[in-house]
Amino acid sequence: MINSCPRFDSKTDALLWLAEELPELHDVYVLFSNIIDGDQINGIPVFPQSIADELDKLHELPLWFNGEVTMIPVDSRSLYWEIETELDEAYESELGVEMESYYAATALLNSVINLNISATFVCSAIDETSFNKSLQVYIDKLNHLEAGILKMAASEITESYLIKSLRARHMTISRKARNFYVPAKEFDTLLTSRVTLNHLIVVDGNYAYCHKAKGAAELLGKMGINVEHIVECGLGKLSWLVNHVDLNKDTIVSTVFRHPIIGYVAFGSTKPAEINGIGVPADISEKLDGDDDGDIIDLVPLVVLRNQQVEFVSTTLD
Amino acid sequence: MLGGIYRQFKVKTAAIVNLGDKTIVVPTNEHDYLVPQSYRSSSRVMAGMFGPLVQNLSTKNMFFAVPNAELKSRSFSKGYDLDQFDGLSVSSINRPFSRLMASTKDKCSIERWCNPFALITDGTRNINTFLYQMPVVRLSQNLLKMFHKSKLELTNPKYELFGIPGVTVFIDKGEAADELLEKLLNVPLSFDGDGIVVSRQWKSQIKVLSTLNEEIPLPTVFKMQGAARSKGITIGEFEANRLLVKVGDSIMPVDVLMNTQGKRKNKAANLIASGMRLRKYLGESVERIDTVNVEQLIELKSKYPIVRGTLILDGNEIGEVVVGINKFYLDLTHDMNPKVAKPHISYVQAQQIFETLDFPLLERFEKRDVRPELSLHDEQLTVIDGLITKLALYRREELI
Repeated sequence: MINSCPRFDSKTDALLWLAEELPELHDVYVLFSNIIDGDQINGIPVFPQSIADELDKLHELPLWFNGEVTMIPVDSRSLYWEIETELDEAYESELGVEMESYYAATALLNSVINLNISATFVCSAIDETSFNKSLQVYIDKLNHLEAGILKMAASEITESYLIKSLRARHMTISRKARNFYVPAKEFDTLLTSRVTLNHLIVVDGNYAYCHKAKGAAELLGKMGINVEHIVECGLGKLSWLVNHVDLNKDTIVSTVFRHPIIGYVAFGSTKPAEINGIGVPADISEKLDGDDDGDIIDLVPLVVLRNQQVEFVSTTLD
Repeated sequence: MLGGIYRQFKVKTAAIVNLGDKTIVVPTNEHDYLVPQSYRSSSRVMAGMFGPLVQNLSTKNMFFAVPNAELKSRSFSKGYDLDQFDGLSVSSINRPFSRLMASTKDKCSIERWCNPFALITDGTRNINTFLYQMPVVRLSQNLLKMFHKSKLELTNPKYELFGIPGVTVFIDKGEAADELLEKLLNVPLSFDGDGIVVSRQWKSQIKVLSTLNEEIPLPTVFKMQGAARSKGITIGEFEANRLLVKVGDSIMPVDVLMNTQGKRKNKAANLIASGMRLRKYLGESVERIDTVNVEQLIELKSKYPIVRGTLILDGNEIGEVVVGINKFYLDLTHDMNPKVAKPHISYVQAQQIFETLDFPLLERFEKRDVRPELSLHDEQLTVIDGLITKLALYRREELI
């Protein structure tokens, strides 16, 4: 195993040697060397559509080590992402050209390419000491890749929730106020969106209408809203109910998260107003550790109380 | 807008190295670091109005960025004494001494020229906003005149450094302030969170210049900072003719409303300096400030007590307030406008918190089926685990 492959002067040489050694994987290693040889932004390889198209064809990537190849299954969507800048559209209209799409390698693709290069470094060691040392570095890189995959899995789970919020800057309002104040236009867009309708509960007398009943009674109970009947209904009916909300008669109850959530969340009645942030009463701000120096707050509407005018704010601690 | 607000500037880097019983600052280059990217990201900074100043200071070995990176070699023998520098953390408190500014005082000259009372100001610094985040701005003639008529005179250099001037009313937090804000803005906003309220007309006199020299109006919400880190976002805007302040015989429209800045050690930088500028603006003679003379700085506090005026809302006098011409820096590094987005909740943290609280919120939200993605990750982990186990065995085997 020691000195079982040549020592290469460049990463590209190592990848092209692997391409020659492994004819069945020749094209993949040439693709890797093209990626490494191309442009970089802050050390991350970037490439044009043609390379992205080649990557789309791959369902597994090789990890070479001392003549043996282990294939790691991949989804091509996890190998690159499109680089888009705010200026693309402006340039396109200004210059009258269509900007070519450009892509950047993900950490997963980067790791796999680098592991292949590192493997040639380990196997070209000329004595036991340097072999063991470089092998340990290689194993550390594998552990790093493993950690990266675990992180991706965690983020898949996080991303699996289909929630939308009104995200804005925290603005403190008077202690006397008993509402969350929200920018009217953005709040209306959120309230009437399909994602919100999916979890919204409309309470009308003793009936609570919602698309899915799971957790509805418990959530209402936690907010001190008690109803006798939970009725599942279609999104069409909910949409009609939401589009007929009259804030002179009805109340919208929302929940508020301060990122990071510091142990509890706030909820309360919500008042659209001429404000460009989310207004949180000062006593609740203190509990959420929010002030007006740029803190971000997310607000999610949860319940519409029909024909009930109430003003309250509370936290899960109260 | 085609251009950006901030530009990239190149600065020199250095490492802080222990050499026997001395700690020295050694200029470094790309080849001194194990990971060159760390060097590159530290040596190129994004900055606005004061970017050229930072770059010039760095050229003259007056300013170094300290990369957060492992050095290749530790065999440095020559460098500057660490005591010759003011170590800044620049962005919040995360990495003290990530920037070094040549200085024989506790606070470097730039900071003192920006805030003449820096040596008797609280330890938290305003220099990050000043050096990096302040965009290039074009002010109206009116505001430029106000700056030049009110700028504080120093012994060296002659004047304090540029900032955006504004007639500022400082109000104590509390019910009276909240009532005023509600009357002015129609929303019950409060100064309890250290937000700042500005007049529409003052804001419209400030235009940001892009890197392609385009004039851009200020966004609806933006972050402002006075001296001594008295920072906050703009929480509301009012019509200038509604709020006036009377000082002696002069009546002026109020440009900025902010709270009186709680920390005792920040009051000189905010209230006394603003008061001195207003006195000068109104024609009073104001003493030249020696920014390194702490005794003089303390004396100035009693020599020029805070200026008080009468606040007039919609033509009615509503009470006495502290007033001055404050000097502001802007931070436009973040888009502060409200938007509909995916909330910032980390799944694991949110899951744990909601379970502990018995608050069944997450159950209400629809979920996408991610089982195929998770099973792919499982397969990937199995492959890598197998490889790690196999390689670990190599070290126990005969190697040749």
